[in-house]
Amino acid sequence: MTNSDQAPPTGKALNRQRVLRRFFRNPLSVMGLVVVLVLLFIAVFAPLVAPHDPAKQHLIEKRAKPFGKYLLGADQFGRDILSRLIFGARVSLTVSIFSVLIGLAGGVVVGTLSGYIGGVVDTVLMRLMDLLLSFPYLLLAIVMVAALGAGTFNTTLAIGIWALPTFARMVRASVLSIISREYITAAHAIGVSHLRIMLTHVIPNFISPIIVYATLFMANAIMLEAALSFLGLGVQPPTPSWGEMISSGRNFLMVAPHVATIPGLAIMLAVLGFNLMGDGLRDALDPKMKNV
Amino acid sequence: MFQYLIKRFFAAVIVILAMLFLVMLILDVIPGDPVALFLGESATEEMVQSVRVQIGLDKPLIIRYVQYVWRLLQGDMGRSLREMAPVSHLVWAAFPNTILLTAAGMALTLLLGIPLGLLSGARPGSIVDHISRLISLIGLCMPVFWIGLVLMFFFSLKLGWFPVGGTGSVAHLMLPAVTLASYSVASLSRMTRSSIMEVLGEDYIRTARAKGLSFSRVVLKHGFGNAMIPIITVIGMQVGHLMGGAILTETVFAWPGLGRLMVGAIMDRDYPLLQGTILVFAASYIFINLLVDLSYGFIDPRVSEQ
Repeated sequence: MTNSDQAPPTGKALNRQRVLRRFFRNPLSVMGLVVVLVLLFIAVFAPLVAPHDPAKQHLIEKRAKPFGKYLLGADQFGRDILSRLIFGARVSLTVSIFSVLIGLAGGVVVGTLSGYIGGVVDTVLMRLMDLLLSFPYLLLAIVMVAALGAGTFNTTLAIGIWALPTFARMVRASVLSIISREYITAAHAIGVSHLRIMLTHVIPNFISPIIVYATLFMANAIMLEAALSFLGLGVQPPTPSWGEMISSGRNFLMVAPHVATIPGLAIMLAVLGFNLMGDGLRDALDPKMKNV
Repeated sequence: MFQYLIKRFFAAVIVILAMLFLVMLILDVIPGDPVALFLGESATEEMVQSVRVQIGLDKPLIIRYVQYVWRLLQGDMGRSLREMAPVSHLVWAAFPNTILLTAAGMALTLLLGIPLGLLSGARPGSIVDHISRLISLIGLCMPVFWIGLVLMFFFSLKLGWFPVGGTGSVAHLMLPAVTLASYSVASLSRMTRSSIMEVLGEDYIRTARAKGLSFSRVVLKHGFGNAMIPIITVIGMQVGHLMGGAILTETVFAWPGLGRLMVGAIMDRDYPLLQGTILVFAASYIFINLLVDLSYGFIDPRVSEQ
């Protein structure tokens, strides 16, 4: 978190090239990027990629073993697991991307206001963020979903609010280090408005490290969505979601272990992809942070 | 020191009270009437109204909050709608199980995470390092509930070594504890590794080696001691992860703890029970974090001087 208050990069184009070169030199980061791109492709083109209709039930073939008619077998209703995984990628990525965007946008607004205005506004906003952060992992999202009700949209909102305070604190730290710089004083001196200073001088200067953290947060969001859906509080059936697939497959663990276990591999792959890519971006952007 | 303790204690109590208010505020926005939802469609208007009065939902939020806190001080957390029993009874019956599970998870985290991190951080680039980094990377990416199901499949259903669920013996505890600890072991070993690597680069480590101390002694005595602070921080963070993970682990293994009680309360729309479980969960997390904070002072005297 501390790297966000380091000096903003200068000589942007040159720097970007250097960052990209560092990123592509690390095979693990490239692997992460490839996994993420493949998942995005699958999610966007799910109807074209999926071999079967994910909702179509073939009761004769219920709990069919993998490598038969269906590559990854069928679930308890005879639905093709591979196709459900592919459509599940769409659900999982949509929820994660939008929840991270909610957290990011909210965090930038709260953090910028807090750091730029300071004083009472800063104290009140930051105490509120501290309060949100003092819930144990998963609990805040569960409380939100308990209040709002389960469902795809509410899950997205709950995960977004869970991510918000961390982003807000990172943004505030960066803003504080930026507003003490001379070019901000200079902008004030020539009469630039506060809003304009925030939008053109403050926010663009901390946005790249924040985006790196957003990538790492994607992994968390995927995990959290799966956890909520597993508990029956997230995405609701019949919408295919990886967590929900594991949850409904666990009743047949003895007779058809593939139904519950295969979706877990998809979650693992997605989380691994975003983690590797995020780690790679972080190391490339700021080599000093390596291995921390 | 005593004054400091008192101050920290009251600060924690205030956070808990604020948190309780926030939770009540969030639960207040439940779309529709929670009582009507609980009673179902067959309930008459009078039935709904009488239950509303019974659990105090007819009063404004702020009054309810003050009343709740007042009763809480007397050990009363209201009555569960479904079980028709005091919430405090249900919660205190489940809480020890959650503590046992979390404590076992933490013990495994410390016993496995630190040695794994030390082994790999002491010899970066070695085969042991690569294997342990791979294990922790995978550990970080596996969903807790999925690990639980996989372990259950192999060790309970196939091999029959451990019971499938429930509680009562050490054998019952094994799989849930391993499941719960998996993420934290990975996380702690990564932190231990990077922390020990940083410390081993210091001049005093070279001095200790130069005066002829063995490598393992240097790592354990000089390296580990100085690497403790960031490690403790990660341990503190893991408490929250273990408690959240306990909700999932309890669901997988039918472990009769607070997490399962909470998920059940959400499903049944049992509003008083839900509020009670959240309160106990959050309050114990805040107090454990307080203990972690205070432990910095014992490990590194420089901290308490500030």
